[in-house]
Amino acid sequence: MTHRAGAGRLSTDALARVEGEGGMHVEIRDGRLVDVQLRIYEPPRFYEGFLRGRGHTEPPDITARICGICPVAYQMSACLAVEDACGVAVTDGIADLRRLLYCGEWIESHALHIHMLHAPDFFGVDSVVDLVALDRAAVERGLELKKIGNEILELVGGRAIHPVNVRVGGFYRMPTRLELTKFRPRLERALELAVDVSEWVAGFDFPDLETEHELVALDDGDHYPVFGDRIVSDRGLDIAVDEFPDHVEEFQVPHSSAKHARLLSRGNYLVGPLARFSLARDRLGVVATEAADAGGLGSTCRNPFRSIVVRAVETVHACEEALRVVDAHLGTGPSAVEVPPRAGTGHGATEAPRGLLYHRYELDAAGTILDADIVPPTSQNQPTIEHDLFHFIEANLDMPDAELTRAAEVTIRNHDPCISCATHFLDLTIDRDGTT
Amino acid sequence: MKPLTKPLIVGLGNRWRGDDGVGPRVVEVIAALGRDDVDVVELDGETSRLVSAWAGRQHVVLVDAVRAGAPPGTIHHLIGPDRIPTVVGEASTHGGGVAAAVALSRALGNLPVRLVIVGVEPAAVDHDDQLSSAVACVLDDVVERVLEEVSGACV
Repeated sequence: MTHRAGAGRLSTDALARVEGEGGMHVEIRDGRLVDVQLRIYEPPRFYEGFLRGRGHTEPPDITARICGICPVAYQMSACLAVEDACGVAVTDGIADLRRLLYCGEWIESHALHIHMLHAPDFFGVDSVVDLVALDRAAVERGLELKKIGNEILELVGGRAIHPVNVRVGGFYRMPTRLELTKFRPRLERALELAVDVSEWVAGFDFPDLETEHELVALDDGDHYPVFGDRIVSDRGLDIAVDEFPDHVEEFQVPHSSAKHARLLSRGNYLVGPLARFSLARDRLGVVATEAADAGGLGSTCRNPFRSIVVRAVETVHACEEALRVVDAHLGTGPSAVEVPPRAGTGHGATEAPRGLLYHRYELDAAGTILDADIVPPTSQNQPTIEHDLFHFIEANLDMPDAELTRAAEVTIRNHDPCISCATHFLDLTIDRDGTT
Repeated sequence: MKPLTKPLIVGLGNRWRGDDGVGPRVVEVIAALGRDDVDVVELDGETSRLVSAWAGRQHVVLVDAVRAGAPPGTIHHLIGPDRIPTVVGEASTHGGGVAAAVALSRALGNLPVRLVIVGVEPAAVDHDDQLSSAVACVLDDVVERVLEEVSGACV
């Protein structure tokens, strides 16, 4: 164990309570912080490589396997990109059902992050198991809410993990109006639980911290961002989804097998709950707006610690949206539209629980994939997370190593990184003048 | 609500990771038998899904790839939740998931009365949609062991 006096290396070989495996390395020389690296050492998965040569109908099923927590996000962005390449638009009924499926994923993923991963930090405990002793009812409520999210995925997607009912052009089978109507009481229950969760998290203590980065989210001109044809920011970025590659530069760093991303000539940016909320608070549902007001959220939220409140508010919104779709669903119309292949390039982006997820596919006339590009939210946020970590650690170099390690992990968990998506554990090393 | 008195068989794992797919394949075979005295579910090992799946159950059998240093295809029959955190935490391909699920479930007081793992020693868990021959050879034996377990033949 090494301590202060400007010498040493803090090392976390496996970061707890994040999705996936990775490490963090902090280097201190002569009492000065010189480097902070988020090290994603999970081997690269080559999805973009093995999509080449596959058929245009395959990306939803293949890319869903990138993540067990947010497979719907991959399926939706993949469908939109392929449909864009083929010049096909789905019906309003199909689009609404996609929104319902996505609500299930937001509810499940947010309930998981809020209760299992993030809340223990605010109680000073190491895990949700320890949290049970302090607030058993809250943990049980979180599990019940997450389960209802799963049930939505089962109802619309055919199963909770890697749904099987999604296809390019829509769904293999449209749920009947009766099936959705019968499910309505579960959604009412979810809304009730989500409102209670938002009250619970709003009562936590939040350190004062404001992220300074450009906030980026999708915009469809109407709804709170889930789908959208434009990408906007709080600093005037306003581009079509197909302009994403012209404005976002992906680059590699030696310490990570995940690519990083930055906005060309603008720099680091942040996608996810803080960005969505800050750009579209006025589009939240009625109950979610009340929850945001009651939770003390202003017109924007730049405090990464408060992202737990934003996730809870977004969960309320997802429950409201799910209820709206269920009430509007007539169970008529086609379950899918045909998507005949044609040569071209298509772009698709949707808001995964962790932020904007972009897909691009280049097809030949027979629909064979010639090239694929997938930019997950964690890749986009990684430089920003490193930047925030650098400033946090720089301001707290006097902190004992164990405390600093823990606080740094919290800084990372605030952003709910999905390391599996970006390329699994996070290791932390703090190197003080070459000593571990 | 489905009745919770039936034993639940959970196939844990990933069909696209070689022998890690043994759990899902075993429950697939059992599901095809159409028995109405057991429930089956395929899960990925994520903690809260496991806890939610077995909450309220008396008898739960987890079928999973378990690495304990035995020859590939060896069947491990681990009986009782007390054995699971210490043995499986290190050995299962979903180590954290199952061990954490047992710990969370124990804290919540909803641990099944009888929680058993029927594990199979994997040969390989690389990217592959096929089981190794060593594991494929014992698939029927694993199904038989699980059915003996749920019928109460195992003590």
